[in-house]
Formats: sequence, C-alpha cells, structure tokens
Amino acid sequence: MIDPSLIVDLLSKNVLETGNPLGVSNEKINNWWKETKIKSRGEWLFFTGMLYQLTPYIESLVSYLEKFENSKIQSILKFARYFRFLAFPTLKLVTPKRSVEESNEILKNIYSLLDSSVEVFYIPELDTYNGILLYDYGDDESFATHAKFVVKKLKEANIKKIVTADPHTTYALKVLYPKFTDADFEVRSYLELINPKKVSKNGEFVIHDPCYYGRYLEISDLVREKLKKTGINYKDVRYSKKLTNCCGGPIEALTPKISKAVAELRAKELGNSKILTMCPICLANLRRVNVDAIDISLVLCNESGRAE
Amino acid sequence: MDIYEALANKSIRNGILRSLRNLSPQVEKNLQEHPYLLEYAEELKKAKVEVLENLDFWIDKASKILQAKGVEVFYARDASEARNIAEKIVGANKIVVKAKSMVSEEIHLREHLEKMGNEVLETDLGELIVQLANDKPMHSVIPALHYSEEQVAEILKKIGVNGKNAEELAKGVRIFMRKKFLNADVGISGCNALSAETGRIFLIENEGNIRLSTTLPKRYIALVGIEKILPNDELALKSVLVQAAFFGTFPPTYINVNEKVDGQEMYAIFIDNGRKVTEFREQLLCIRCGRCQLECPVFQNLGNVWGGSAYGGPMGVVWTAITEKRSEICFLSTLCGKCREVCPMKINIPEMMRKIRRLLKKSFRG
Ligand code: SF4
Repeated sequence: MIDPSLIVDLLSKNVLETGNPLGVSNEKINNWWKETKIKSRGEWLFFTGMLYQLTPYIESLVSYLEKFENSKIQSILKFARYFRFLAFPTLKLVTPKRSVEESNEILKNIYSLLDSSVEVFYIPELDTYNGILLYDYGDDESFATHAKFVVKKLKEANIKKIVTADPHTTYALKVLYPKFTDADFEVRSYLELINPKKVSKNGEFVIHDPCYYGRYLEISDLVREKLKKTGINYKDVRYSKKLTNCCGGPIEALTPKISKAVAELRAKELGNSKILTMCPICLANLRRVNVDAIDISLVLCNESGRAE
Repeated sequence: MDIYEALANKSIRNGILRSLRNLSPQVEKNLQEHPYLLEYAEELKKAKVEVLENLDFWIDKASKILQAKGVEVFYARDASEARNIAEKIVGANKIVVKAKSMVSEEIHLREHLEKMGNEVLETDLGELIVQLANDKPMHSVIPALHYSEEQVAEILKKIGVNGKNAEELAKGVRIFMRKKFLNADVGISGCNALSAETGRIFLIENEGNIRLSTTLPKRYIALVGIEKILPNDELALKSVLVQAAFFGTFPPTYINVNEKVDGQEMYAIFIDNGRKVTEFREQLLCIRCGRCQLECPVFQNLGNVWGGSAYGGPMGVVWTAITEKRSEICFLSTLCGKCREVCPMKINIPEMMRKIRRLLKKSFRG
C-alpha cells in the first residue's frame, strides 16, 4: 500500500489551498461547458463536483503509482518527490487527450439531457470539487472546512436546487453537507430528473450500479425505469442494486494493484455485455481491466451525442 | 504472508469465491423460508445494544449465576491475563482438545499452552488443518477454505492420516481424534452466546467435535468474550440461529447448550481485551457469522491476511482495532458498504473504518 499518510496529507493540503485534490485551479480542468450553450439562470443549478473532470488525471496518476506500489522504489520515495511527481503540468502531459474529451462529452450529454427535461443552468465559477476524498480518508476537519467554503459560495449565489452528475457528488451534497454545514439545498442526481426518449442503440448492456446509488442513495430502480423508456436492451446481474459490488475505484490511489483485482472480480460478474456505468470512477477503474464500458449518459442520448 | 502475497495466491481467492457461491444462495433461502429469522436478528440487536450499555451489570449477573452453579469464573482484562489464567487451570504435560474459537485465536491460547508443554489439538477439521500447516484461519467460520484437497491430504500426513479423498481423510481424522478425545485432560471452547439467566453456554457446530471436546474431558474451560452475554436463554438461542442462518447453514447440525455437570470441573474466562473501553462499541454487536467477509470484494482478494493477528476482513479490521491496535489496513476498505448491507446486525463497518482513519490521521500529523 502506498503510505496513506503521504496521500492523505497531500490531498488535504491541495484541497484546502486550491479547492482541488490535484492542486490545480478548476479553470484548468473544467472546460466542457465552453462548447455548450449553457443557461446562466434557471431552476436547477448543475453542479458537477469536478469528479468527471478530475478522473482522467487521477487515472494517469494511478497508472504511475501502480508501477512502484510494493516495489523497492516505493520505500525510498521521499515526500518531496511525491510533490514533484504529482504536479499537475506533468500529469497533464501524460493524460490521454481522448480521456479528457470523453469526460467533457459525458458532461455535455448530461447537461443536454437535463436541458430537455428541466430548467437547468450552469455557472462555472460556482462549480467546485465536492471534497469527498477528504471524507473517505477520514479527514473530517478538512472536509468540513471545504464543504463550508462550497456551501458559502452557493448560498451567496442564492442557490436552492442542485442537480449533480455523479453518485459521490450527489451523496456529498445531499447527505454529508447538511451534516457538516448549514446546507439545506434540494439535491438530485441528474438521473432522477431526466426524461429520456427512445434511442436507437444496438446490443445488450449490463448495469453496474455504483455503490452510492445502489446502497447509500437507493436510486437503482429509478435508473432502470429511465432506461426502460429509452428501449435499451439491458440486463442485471445477481449482484446489483443494493447488493452491487464495488469497482475497486475508491482505493486506487492507495493500492492500485488491489483496486485492479477488485475490478477484475466485478468485471467477471458483469460478463460480456457492454457495461453501463454511472460514475467516472467506476468507468475508469473497470476499464483498467480492459472491459467494454460506457457512461450511461452516452447511451441515454441518440447517436448525435445529444438528447433529442 | 503479506497482502501482496495473498493477492498473488489464487487459492485464497478461489476458496473464498467457492464458499461464497455455496453459501450466499443458502443465506437467501434460509431467510426466505424462515422469515422470522430477520425478526430474531432485530430483537437480538436491540438486546445486545442494551447489554452493551450496561455491560458491568450483565457481566456481574452472568458471573454470579455461573458461580452459583459451581463454575469457577475469571475475568481477564487482556490477552496475557487470559493466557495466564488458562495456563494455571490447564497446567503442563496435558492433552488439551479445543473447539474452534476465534477468541482463542485472539489471545493466541493454543500456542501458549503448547509452549507450556501441553499437547493441544484443534478438533474442528478446518482449524486442525490450519494448526498443522502453522497458518492463520483464512475465515472466521471456514478457516481452511484456501486449501485444496491435495494440500489437505499432504498436511494431514503430519498426524499419520492418509486418504485418497475428502471422505477418507475425514474418516482418518475422526479415528485419530477419537483417541485424543478419550485421553484428553482438558477441553476448551469459545462461546457463541451466554445466557445471563441460566449461565448456559450456547455453541453451534456441524461436526460434533465441540460436543466431544466440551463433555468428555474432566476439565472444561469456556472462553467468553464479554460481548457474548445475553439476558436469557431465548435470546441466546436466537443468537446462534441467526448466526447459523447468516453464515449459510440452517439449522446448524448441532446446537450445544453447555452448563456445569456433575463430575466435570468447569471454568469460564470472561475476556475483555479492549472491549469495555473501545471506541468501536458497535462492532461488539457482531455475532461472527462471517458473512461480511465472504461478501467483501477486498476480502475476496486477500482473505484474512487483510487483518490483524486473528481477525480479518471488514469486521476483522475493526475487531483488530478493538483487540490489538488501530492499523493502516483500514485504508484498504473501499467503503462500498456491502458489509453493512449483508450484516444481520447492520453494523456500520464503513463508518468505523472511517473512524479508524480519522484517529490514525491525528498521528500522521503528530
Ligand atoms: S460484522 Fe455482521 S456480517 Fe460481519 S461477522 Fe459480524 S455479524 Fe456477521
């Protein structure tokens, strides 16, 4: 295992200093909206929590960490080296452009699906990292500080209703923020709000419920209802919904090898159909074991890449 | 073995997945056919919460009833005290037969008694295999799930047991054990539940070895984790039924209800070892069905190697924090919540994993 103290301290330092776990300003990674007609007013604020934008870079980092996990190099790695290693410009260089583009495409699709269903709007300056990694690593103080910073910004902008893009952000804003701050927003996952139309997609899909939707927020049935409307041919495996199994993603930065082994087990359970994911971490981690997986938002829209 | 060796050891993963495939549908079936078990689980949880809130009272009550029945009762604050008490009762150069017991693993009693010159034998087949292989139980209920039949055959040769298949091997062990049972000076068991109403010790098993280990020897020691106390027989019985059903074997082949009988000296050692003062009290609700282990994707890859010296897996990381120390192994949890979902007591293990991290984090900064 990569020394948790290094990862946890670096993470909280980055988030508290820059608002972002990679220690980079959001403008550098949040670009999806630039090619989209976004509204600046409406009923539901679209809040991505930056998870889709961050994932391609985190994946690059993980593929490097995996190389020295449990190796001789790991033991001689000094803290300072980590800093250099984790620096964003380096990460940007090694992160495949197509991963970044795919994340942007997913967010555009989600926004578009929302746009055709509810009064949605987006203000890039309000969109911030959700802080969930701090919470997961048990750094409640830093999580609370960050959550308060996010909530303050949202409250100052008089935001009441928030729609999210991924399960971790949904859980953070809906369940954790009210516990750690004075947040009282109405929070929904985009999957709860959209009204998808019939789409023409061939092949059979298998659903991989993310743990947070399956168990923590219990919206798996609702997702299936939406999928039924599209006419997509999908199936469930034994371990789905509340009994879904983890993709291994949450431990990828501390132990890429074990994280990958968990993904392998999950991939085996899911079989050979194309896997539908609803979370950028699930998508990325399952792909580490070479499966055919796609974000659900790309399936809920027609070939054009936009909802009709 | 470290976690990376465990990861590379395919027999661990295969053994766990094989057990999961056999047992998981069984658990579902048990609950469908006997829906009252879910009510029992709820009732049990409520009772356990109440006992834990007033642990001293219940320890006292249970001790008194045991003493009134002629049982000699001891209280061990930690593992070393427990070992010393057991050592005094057992003495040296004795034959000791043991029922499988995780609390005994926790205090490393077998090794200690062996060092004192005793011949100590695990009588549960799986645990015996682990003992002979000088290994650690890979799961709290199925300790040898990671060994193939061929490996078992090889290991059992150490006690002169030979056989071509599982049946022959089991028969060979039974013959070997029978002699030991008849000559044993002391029998040791754990305790699945203790009734504070009657002092009865409830133990479930499928092999019949617990029955023999605890009734044949002249001296019987029951190791009782203090969280095993329940107010009455009815709850103790429900506890073992829920434990069996959530493990996957229901009804269990044997339910032993042990108490002091004429002609046998009986000793009960209450084991605290971090339980009373723990910050992870919710884990004390655990009835050790082992379900959270088999269903956990990290455990499926690492087995009990992901754990402390006795306990492993989701419940085991927290039990290790209670009985040994808080350790960075908690960072291997994905917090996926599957353990809580499948747990009969609905123990919020992910939240306790986070709590261990939170407490460790203070030392990172320190
Ligand atoms: S934590 Fe729950 S599921 Fe795990 S062994 Fe204990 S009672 Fe069983």
